Amino acid sequence: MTVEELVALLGLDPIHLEDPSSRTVTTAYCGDLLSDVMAHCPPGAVWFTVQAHVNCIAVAEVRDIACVVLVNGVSPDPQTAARAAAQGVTLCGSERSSAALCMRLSGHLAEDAPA
Amino acid sequence: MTQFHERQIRLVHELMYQIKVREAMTREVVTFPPTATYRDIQLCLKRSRFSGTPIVDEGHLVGIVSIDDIITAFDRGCIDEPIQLTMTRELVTVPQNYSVIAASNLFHKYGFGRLPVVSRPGSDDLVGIITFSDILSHLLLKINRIAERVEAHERRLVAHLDQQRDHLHFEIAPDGFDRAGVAATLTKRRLLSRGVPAPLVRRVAVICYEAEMNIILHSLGGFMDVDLLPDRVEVTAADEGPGIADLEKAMQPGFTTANEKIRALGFGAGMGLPNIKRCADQFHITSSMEAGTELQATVLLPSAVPTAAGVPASVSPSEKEVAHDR
Repeated sequence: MTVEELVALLGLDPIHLEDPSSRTVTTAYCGDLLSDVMAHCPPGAVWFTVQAHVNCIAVAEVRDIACVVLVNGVSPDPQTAARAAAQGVTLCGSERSSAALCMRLSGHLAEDAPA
Repeated sequence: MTQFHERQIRLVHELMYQIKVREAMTREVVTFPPTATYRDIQLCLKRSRFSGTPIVDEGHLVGIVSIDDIITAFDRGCIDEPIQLTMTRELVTVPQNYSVIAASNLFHKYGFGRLPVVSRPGSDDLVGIITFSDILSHLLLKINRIAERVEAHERRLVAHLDQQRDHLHFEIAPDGFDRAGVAATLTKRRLLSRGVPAPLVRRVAVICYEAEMNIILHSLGGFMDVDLLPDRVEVTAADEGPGIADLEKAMQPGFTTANEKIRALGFGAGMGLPNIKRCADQFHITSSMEAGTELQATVLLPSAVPTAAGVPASVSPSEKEVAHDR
Protein backbone atom coordinates (compact mmCIF):
# COMPACT_ATOMS: atom_id res chain seq x y z
CA MET A 1 0.00 0.00 0.00
CA THR A 2 1.31 3.47 -0.79
CA VAL A 3 1.31 6.35 1.68
CA GLU A 4 -1.32 8.01 -0.50
CA GLU A 5 -3.63 4.99 -0.18
CA LEU A 6 -2.96 4.85 3.57
CA VAL A 7 -3.93 8.48 4.03
CA ALA A 8 -7.15 7.87 2.10
CA LEU A 9 -8.00 4.61 3.91
CA LEU A 10 -7.53 6.00 7.43
CA GLY A 11 -8.72 9.55 6.66
CA LEU A 12 -5.45 11.05 7.96
CA ASP A 13 -4.70 14.78 8.05
CA PRO A 14 -1.47 15.27 6.08
CA ILE A 15 1.11 17.57 7.71
CA HIS A 16 3.97 16.73 5.38
CA LEU A 17 3.79 14.16 2.59
CA GLU A 18 7.01 12.89 1.02
CA ASP A 19 6.56 11.18 -2.31
CA PRO A 20 3.15 9.70 -1.24
CA SER A 21 2.32 7.94 -4.49
CA SER A 22 5.47 5.81 -4.56
CA ARG A 23 6.51 5.34 -0.90
CA THR A 24 5.22 1.95 0.25
CA VAL A 25 3.82 1.07 3.68
CA THR A 26 4.43 -2.59 4.48
CA THR A 27 3.54 -2.88 8.17
CA ALA A 28 2.47 -0.92 11.24
CA TYR A 29 3.81 -0.17 14.71
CA CYS A 30 2.40 1.49 17.82
CA GLY A 31 4.67 3.00 20.47
CA ASP A 32 5.24 6.11 22.54
CA LEU A 33 8.60 5.20 24.00
CA LEU A 34 11.12 6.36 21.45
CA SER A 35 13.76 3.81 22.51
CA ASP A 36 11.21 1.04 22.09
CA VAL A 37 10.28 2.29 18.63
CA MET A 38 13.96 2.64 17.85
CA ALA A 39 14.48 -0.98 18.87
CA HIS A 40 11.46 -2.65 17.33
CA CYS A 41 9.76 -0.57 14.64
CA PRO A 42 10.34 -2.30 11.27
CA PRO A 43 11.49 -0.22 8.30
CA GLY A 44 8.67 0.77 5.99
CA ALA A 45 6.10 0.87 8.81
CA VAL A 46 3.36 3.35 9.56
CA TRP A 47 4.03 4.41 13.15
CA PHE A 48 1.18 5.48 15.43
CA THR A 49 2.25 7.62 18.40
CA VAL A 50 1.26 10.44 20.73
CA GLN A 51 4.88 11.72 20.71
CA ALA A 52 4.74 15.07 18.94
CA HIS A 53 8.26 16.01 20.00
CA VAL A 54 10.77 16.81 17.29
CA ASN A 55 12.72 13.67 18.18
CA CYS A 56 10.10 11.41 16.65
CA ILE A 57 11.26 12.68 13.26
CA ALA A 58 14.79 11.61 14.05
CA VAL A 59 13.53 8.17 15.04
CA ALA A 60 11.51 7.91 11.83
CA GLU A 61 14.54 8.93 9.81
CA VAL A 62 16.85 6.44 11.53
CA ARG A 63 14.38 3.53 11.27
CA ASP A 64 13.25 4.33 7.69
CA ILE A 65 9.66 4.67 8.85
CA ALA A 66 7.28 5.28 5.91
CA CYS A 67 4.73 7.40 7.75
CA VAL A 68 4.44 8.92 11.24
CA VAL A 69 0.88 9.39 12.49
CA LEU A 70 0.20 11.58 15.55
CA VAL A 71 -2.93 10.07 17.07
CA ASN A 72 -5.62 11.25 19.56
CA GLY A 73 -5.69 14.71 17.96
CA VAL A 74 -2.20 15.55 19.18
CA SER A 75 -0.82 18.42 17.15
CA PRO A 76 2.88 18.52 16.32
CA ASP A 77 5.30 21.07 17.76
CA PRO A 78 6.00 23.66 15.03
CA GLN A 79 9.58 22.42 15.07
CA THR A 80 8.43 18.86 14.45
CA ALA A 81 6.50 19.78 11.31
CA ALA A 82 9.43 21.82 10.06
CA ARG A 83 11.88 18.98 10.73
CA ALA A 84 9.60 16.49 8.95
CA ALA A 85 9.60 18.66 5.83
CA ALA A 86 13.35 19.26 6.06
CA GLN A 87 14.21 15.57 6.54
CA GLY A 88 11.65 14.28 4.06
CA VAL A 89 9.70 12.30 6.65
CA THR A 90 5.96 11.82 6.03
CA LEU A 91 3.94 13.16 9.00
CA CYS A 92 0.16 13.03 9.45
CA GLY A 93 -2.37 13.59 12.22
CA SER A 94 -5.59 11.88 13.25
CA GLU A 95 -8.34 12.46 15.82
CA ARG A 96 -8.67 8.70 16.34
CA SER A 97 -6.69 6.43 18.67
CA SER A 98 -3.87 4.05 17.72
CA ALA A 99 -6.14 1.09 18.39
CA ALA A 100 -8.98 2.43 16.21
CA LEU A 101 -6.60 3.16 13.36
CA CYS A 102 -4.95 -0.28 13.60
CA MET A 103 -8.34 -2.00 13.53
CA ARG A 104 -9.27 -0.05 10.43
CA LEU A 105 -5.96 -0.96 8.82
CA SER A 106 -6.21 -4.65 9.71
CA GLY A 107 -6.02 -6.95 6.68
CA HIS A 108 -4.97 -4.19 4.30
CA LEU A 109 -1.20 -4.52 4.69
CA ALA A 110 1.04 -7.01 2.97
CA GLU A 111 2.49 -8.40 6.19
CA ASP A 112 1.82 -8.35 9.90
CA ALA A 113 4.17 -6.30 12.00
CA PRO A 114 6.85 -8.55 13.47
CA ALA A 115 7.71 -8.00 17.11
CA MET B 1 61.32 32.39 -23.88
CA THR B 2 58.08 31.51 -22.19
CA GLN B 3 57.45 32.42 -18.58
CA PHE B 4 57.26 28.73 -17.78
CA HIS B 5 60.78 28.12 -19.03
CA GLU B 6 62.10 31.16 -17.22
CA ARG B 7 60.63 29.82 -14.06
CA GLN B 8 62.18 26.42 -14.62
CA ILE B 9 65.61 27.99 -15.13
CA ARG B 10 65.23 30.16 -12.06
CA LEU B 11 64.45 27.05 -10.07
CA VAL B 12 67.55 25.26 -11.39
CA HIS B 13 69.67 28.30 -10.54
CA GLU B 14 68.28 28.45 -7.04
CA LEU B 15 69.05 24.79 -6.60
CA MET B 16 72.58 25.25 -7.93
CA TYR B 17 73.19 28.05 -5.45
CA GLN B 18 72.27 25.65 -2.67
CA ILE B 19 74.68 22.94 -3.81
CA LYS B 20 78.26 23.31 -2.57
CA VAL B 21 81.17 22.17 -4.68
CA ARG B 22 82.12 19.72 -1.94
CA GLU B 23 78.77 17.90 -2.31
CA ALA B 24 79.10 17.37 -6.05
CA MET B 25 82.86 16.83 -6.48
CA THR B 26 84.68 13.54 -6.86
CA ARG B 27 86.94 12.89 -3.88
CA GLU B 28 88.99 10.00 -5.17
CA VAL B 29 91.36 11.83 -7.47
CA VAL B 30 94.17 10.18 -9.41
CA THR B 31 97.13 12.55 -9.22
CA PHE B 32 100.66 12.54 -10.61
CA PRO B 33 103.90 14.07 -9.31
CA PRO B 34 105.65 16.72 -11.47
CA THR B 35 108.33 14.14 -12.26
CA ALA B 36 105.86 11.94 -14.21
CA THR B 37 106.07 12.03 -18.00
CA TYR B 38 103.26 12.96 -20.36
CA ARG B 39 103.25 9.35 -21.52
CA ASP B 40 102.69 8.07 -17.96
CA ILE B 41 99.65 10.33 -17.75
CA GLN B 42 98.47 9.47 -21.25
CA LEU B 43 98.46 5.74 -20.42
CA CYS B 44 96.59 6.35 -17.18
CA LEU B 45 93.98 8.60 -18.81
CA LYS B 46 93.49 6.06 -21.58
CA ARG B 47 92.93 3.30 -19.01
CA SER B 48 90.66 5.21 -16.69
CA ARG B 49 88.92 7.35 -19.35
CA PHE B 50 89.59 10.57 -17.41
CA SER B 51 90.15 13.70 -19.44
CA GLY B 52 92.64 15.33 -17.11
CA THR B 53 94.60 14.86 -13.89
CA PRO B 54 95.96 17.24 -11.24
CA ILE B 55 99.67 17.36 -10.54
CA VAL B 56 100.59 17.29 -6.86
CA ASP B 57 104.02 17.97 -5.45
CA GLU B 58 104.49 16.89 -1.82
CA GLY B 59 100.91 17.64 -0.91
CA HIS B 60 100.69 20.89 -2.90
CA LEU B 61 98.63 21.23 -6.03
CA VAL B 62 100.96 22.59 -8.68
CA GLY B 63 99.24 22.02 -12.02
CA ILE B 64 96.82 20.07 -14.13
CA VAL B 65 97.41 18.04 -17.29
CA SER B 66 94.59 17.44 -19.74
CA ILE B 67 94.29 15.42 -22.93
CA ASP B 68 94.87 18.69 -24.82
CA ASP B 69 98.23 19.09 -23.09
CA ILE B 70 99.17 15.51 -24.03
CA ILE B 71 98.30 16.09 -27.68
CA THR B 72 100.43 19.25 -27.61
CA ALA B 73 103.28 17.25 -26.06
CA PHE B 74 103.03 14.71 -28.88
CA ASP B 75 103.12 17.58 -31.32
CA ARG B 76 106.23 19.05 -29.77
CA GLY B 77 107.90 15.68 -29.33
CA CYS B 78 108.21 15.97 -25.57
CA ILE B 79 105.85 13.11 -24.73
CA ASP B 80 108.49 11.18 -22.75
CA GLU B 81 109.76 14.20 -20.82
CA PRO B 82 108.79 14.97 -17.23
CA ILE B 83 105.83 17.28 -17.26
CA GLN B 84 107.35 19.80 -14.84
CA LEU B 85 109.48 21.18 -17.67
CA THR B 86 106.55 22.38 -19.77
CA MET B 87 103.29 22.30 -17.80
CA THR B 88 101.51 25.56 -17.04
CA ARG B 89 101.51 26.54 -13.43
CA GLU B 90 98.79 29.14 -13.70
CA LEU B 91 96.05 27.15 -12.13
CA VAL B 92 92.33 27.88 -11.90
CA THR B 93 90.87 26.20 -8.81
CA VAL B 94 87.59 26.36 -6.96
CA PRO B 95 87.26 26.21 -3.16
CA GLN B 96 85.10 23.36 -1.82
CA ASN B 97 82.73 25.64 0.12
CA TYR B 98 81.73 27.63 -3.01
CA SER B 99 78.44 27.00 -4.71
CA VAL B 100 78.56 24.93 -7.89
CA ILE B 101 77.39 28.09 -9.69
CA ALA B 102 80.93 29.42 -9.18
CA ALA B 103 82.37 26.25 -10.74
CA SER B 104 79.88 26.45 -13.60
CA ASN B 105 80.88 30.08 -14.26
CA LEU B 106 84.57 29.13 -14.32
CA PHE B 107 83.89 26.29 -16.80
CA HIS B 108 82.11 28.79 -18.96
CA LYS B 109 84.77 31.49 -18.66
CA TYR B 110 87.84 29.33 -19.36
CA GLY B 111 86.31 26.53 -21.43
CA PHE B 112 87.69 23.92 -19.00
CA GLY B 113 86.16 20.49 -18.60
CA ARG B 114 87.28 20.05 -15.01
CA LEU B 115 88.49 22.06 -12.04
CA PRO B 116 90.65 21.01 -9.10
CA VAL B 117 88.88 21.64 -5.81
CA VAL B 118 90.90 23.11 -2.95
CA SER B 119 90.12 23.16 0.77
CA ARG B 120 89.67 26.96 0.94
CA PRO B 121 90.20 30.07 -1.22
CA GLY B 122 93.87 30.64 -2.10
CA SER B 123 94.90 27.22 -0.85
CA ASP B 124 96.81 24.62 -2.87
CA ASP B 125 95.49 21.75 -0.73
CA LEU B 126 93.71 19.45 -3.22
CA VAL B 127 90.52 17.83 -1.88
CA GLY B 128 88.76 16.72 -5.10
CA ILE B 129 87.96 17.40 -8.69
CA ILE B 130 84.73 18.62 -10.24
CA THR B 131 83.38 18.35 -13.80
CA PHE B 132 80.26 19.81 -15.33
CA SER B 133 78.73 16.36 -15.43
CA ASP B 134 79.31 16.00 -11.65
CA ILE B 135 77.21 19.15 -11.20
CA LEU B 136 74.50 17.87 -13.52
CA SER B 137 74.31 14.48 -11.79
CA HIS B 138 74.08 16.11 -8.41
CA LEU B 139 71.44 18.53 -9.64
CA LEU B 140 69.35 15.65 -11.01
CA LEU B 141 69.76 13.80 -7.72
CA LYS B 142 68.56 16.85 -5.83
CA ILE B 143 65.58 17.39 -8.15
CA ASN B 144 64.74 13.73 -7.81
CA ARG B 145 64.78 14.01 -4.03
CA ILE B 146 62.50 17.06 -4.17
CA ALA B 147 60.12 15.18 -6.47
CA GLU B 148 60.06 12.24 -4.06
CA ARG B 149 59.34 14.56 -1.14
CA VAL B 150 56.51 16.25 -3.03
CA GLU B 151 55.10 12.87 -4.03
CA ALA B 152 55.25 11.56 -0.46
CA HIS B 153 53.59 14.74 0.78
CA GLU B 154 50.78 14.37 -1.76
CA ARG B 155 50.30 10.73 -0.83
CA ARG B 156 49.97 11.72 2.82
CA LEU B 157 47.53 14.47 1.89
CA VAL B 158 45.36 12.13 -0.15
CA ALA B 159 45.44 9.50 2.60
CA HIS B 160 44.42 12.16 5.10
CA LEU B 161 41.53 13.32 2.90
CA ASP B 162 40.38 9.73 2.45
CA GLN B 163 40.44 9.28 6.18
CA GLN B 164 38.47 12.49 6.67
CA ARG B 165 35.84 11.32 4.23
CA ASP B 166 35.32 8.17 6.24
CA HIS B 167 35.50 9.81 9.63
CA LEU B 168 32.71 11.74 11.30
CA HIS B 169 32.98 13.66 14.53
CA PHE B 170 30.12 15.14 16.52
CA GLU B 171 30.27 17.34 19.59
CA ILE B 172 27.17 16.68 21.67
CA ALA B 173 25.84 19.22 24.17
CA PRO B 174 23.85 18.16 27.24
CA ASP B 175 20.10 18.91 27.06
CA GLY B 176 20.42 19.43 23.31
CA PHE B 177 17.09 17.71 22.65
CA ASP B 178 16.40 19.77 19.59
CA ARG B 179 19.53 18.64 17.83
CA ALA B 180 19.07 15.01 18.83
CA GLY B 181 19.20 12.65 15.90
CA VAL B 182 21.34 14.95 13.79
CA ALA B 183 24.45 12.82 14.29
CA ALA B 184 22.52 9.63 13.51
CA THR B 185 20.97 11.15 10.38
CA LEU B 186 24.26 12.52 9.05
CA THR B 187 26.00 9.22 9.74
CA LYS B 188 23.25 7.33 7.98
CA ARG B 189 23.48 9.48 4.85
CA ARG B 190 27.27 9.29 4.74
CA LEU B 191 27.31 5.50 5.08
CA LEU B 192 24.60 5.06 2.43
CA SER B 193 26.56 7.32 0.07
CA ARG B 194 29.65 5.18 0.67
CA GLY B 195 27.76 2.07 -0.40
CA VAL B 196 27.15 0.43 2.98
CA PRO B 197 24.02 -1.82 2.72
CA ALA B 198 20.85 -0.22 4.16
CA PRO B 199 20.13 -2.80 6.92
CA LEU B 200 23.67 -2.37 8.29
CA VAL B 201 23.34 1.41 8.05
CA ARG B 202 20.12 1.19 10.10
CA ARG B 203 21.93 -0.71 12.83
CA VAL B 204 24.72 1.89 12.91
CA ALA B 205 22.11 4.69 12.93
CA VAL B 206 20.30 3.15 15.91
CA ILE B 207 23.60 2.86 17.77
CA CYS B 208 24.41 6.50 16.99
CA TYR B 209 20.96 7.71 17.99
CA GLU B 210 20.92 5.89 21.31
CA ALA B 211 24.50 6.89 22.13
CA GLU B 212 23.71 10.48 21.23
CA MET B 213 20.53 10.47 23.35
CA ASN B 214 22.43 9.00 26.29
CA ILE B 215 24.92 11.85 26.17
CA ILE B 216 22.13 14.42 25.81
CA LEU B 217 19.92 12.98 28.57
CA HIS B 218 22.37 11.71 31.13
CA SER B 219 25.72 13.49 30.81
CA LEU B 220 27.45 16.84 31.04
CA GLY B 221 28.20 16.66 27.32
CA GLY B 222 30.53 14.63 25.15
CA PHE B 223 31.35 13.59 21.64
CA MET B 224 30.83 10.79 19.18
CA ASP B 225 33.16 9.52 16.44
CA VAL B 226 32.10 7.32 13.57
CA ASP B 227 34.80 5.61 11.48
CA LEU B 228 34.04 3.76 8.29
CA LEU B 229 36.79 1.17 7.85
CA PRO B 230 37.09 -1.35 5.02
CA ASP B 231 35.69 -4.19 7.11
CA ARG B 232 33.61 -2.47 9.80
CA VAL B 233 31.99 0.69 11.13
CA GLU B 234 33.18 1.81 14.54
CA VAL B 235 31.17 4.13 16.76
CA THR B 236 32.91 5.64 19.77
CA ALA B 237 30.89 7.77 22.17
CA ALA B 238 32.38 9.38 25.24
CA ASP B 239 31.02 11.84 27.77
CA GLU B 240 32.43 13.98 30.57
CA GLY B 241 30.48 12.25 33.30
CA PRO B 242 28.96 11.92 35.82
CA GLY B 243 29.32 8.22 34.95
CA ILE B 244 27.11 5.17 35.42
CA ALA B 245 26.95 3.92 39.01
CA ASP B 246 25.99 0.34 38.19
CA LEU B 247 26.84 -0.74 34.64
CA GLU B 248 25.34 -4.20 35.04
CA LYS B 249 21.98 -2.71 35.97
CA ALA B 250 22.19 -0.12 33.20
CA MET B 251 22.59 -2.91 30.66
CA GLN B 252 19.30 -4.55 31.77
CA PRO B 253 16.35 -3.66 29.51
CA GLY B 254 13.88 -1.43 31.35
CA PHE B 255 16.32 -0.12 33.95
CA THR B 256 16.37 3.65 33.87
CA THR B 257 17.48 6.61 35.93
CA ALA B 258 15.56 9.04 33.74
CA ASN B 259 13.39 11.65 35.45
CA GLU B 260 9.75 12.51 34.71
CA LYS B 261 10.61 15.22 32.26
CA ILE B 262 12.73 12.88 30.19
CA ARG B 263 10.09 10.15 30.29
CA ALA B 264 7.33 12.55 29.24
CA LEU B 265 9.31 13.19 26.09
CA GLY B 266 9.23 9.50 25.26
CA PHE B 267 12.75 8.76 26.39
CA GLY B 268 14.05 6.94 29.42
CA ALA B 269 12.51 3.58 28.60
CA GLY B 270 15.69 1.95 29.85
CA MET B 271 16.43 0.52 26.44
CA GLY B 272 19.25 2.69 25.13
CA LEU B 273 22.25 0.58 26.08
CA PRO B 274 20.52 -2.78 25.42
CA ASN B 275 19.51 -1.40 22.00
CA ILE B 276 23.09 -0.47 21.20
CA LYS B 277 24.36 -3.87 22.29
CA ARG B 278 21.72 -5.62 20.21
CA CYS B 279 22.67 -3.72 17.05
CA ALA B 280 26.44 -4.10 17.46
CA ASP B 281 28.60 -7.06 16.51
CA GLN B 282 31.11 -5.97 19.12
CA PHE B 283 30.25 -3.84 22.11
CA HIS B 284 32.40 -2.47 24.87
CA ILE B 285 31.55 0.03 27.60
CA THR B 286 33.50 1.46 30.50
CA SER B 287 32.29 3.97 33.03
CA SER B 288 33.66 5.61 36.11
CA MET B 289 32.20 8.25 38.35
CA GLU B 290 35.37 10.32 37.82
CA ALA B 291 36.04 10.06 34.08
CA GLY B 292 32.58 9.49 32.64
CA THR B 293 31.41 6.87 30.21
CA GLU B 294 32.97 5.62 27.00
CA LEU B 295 31.34 3.10 24.74
CA GLN B 296 32.56 1.45 21.58
CA ALA B 297 30.25 -0.37 19.22
CA THR B 298 31.33 -2.09 16.01
CA VAL B 299 29.18 -3.23 13.11
CA LEU B 300 30.98 -5.62 10.75
CA LEU B 301 30.54 -5.05 7.02
CA PRO B 302 29.58 -7.94 4.70
CA SER B 303 33.09 -8.52 3.40
CA ALA B 304 34.26 -9.10 6.97
CA VAL B 305 31.31 -11.20 8.16
CA PRO B 306 32.65 -14.71 8.74
CA THR B 307 30.95 -17.13 6.38
CA ALA B 308 29.22 -20.21 7.73
CA ALA B 309 30.72 -23.63 6.98
CA GLY B 310 29.94 -24.74 3.44
CA VAL B 311 28.70 -21.33 2.36
CA PRO B 312 30.96 -19.85 -0.32
CA ALA B 313 32.56 -16.52 0.48
CA SER B 314 30.94 -14.98 -2.60
CA VAL B 315 27.41 -15.23 -1.19
CA SER B 316 25.38 -12.29 -2.50
CA PRO B 317 25.26 -9.18 -0.31
CA SER B 318 21.48 -9.29 0.01
CA GLU B 319 21.60 -12.73 1.66
CA LYS B 320 24.16 -11.52 4.18
CA GLU B 321 22.15 -8.39 4.92
CA VAL B 322 19.11 -10.46 5.77
CA ALA B 323 21.15 -12.76 7.95
CA HIS B 324 22.55 -9.89 9.93
CA ASP B 325 19.62 -7.49 10.12
CA ARG B 326 18.42 -8.21 13.61
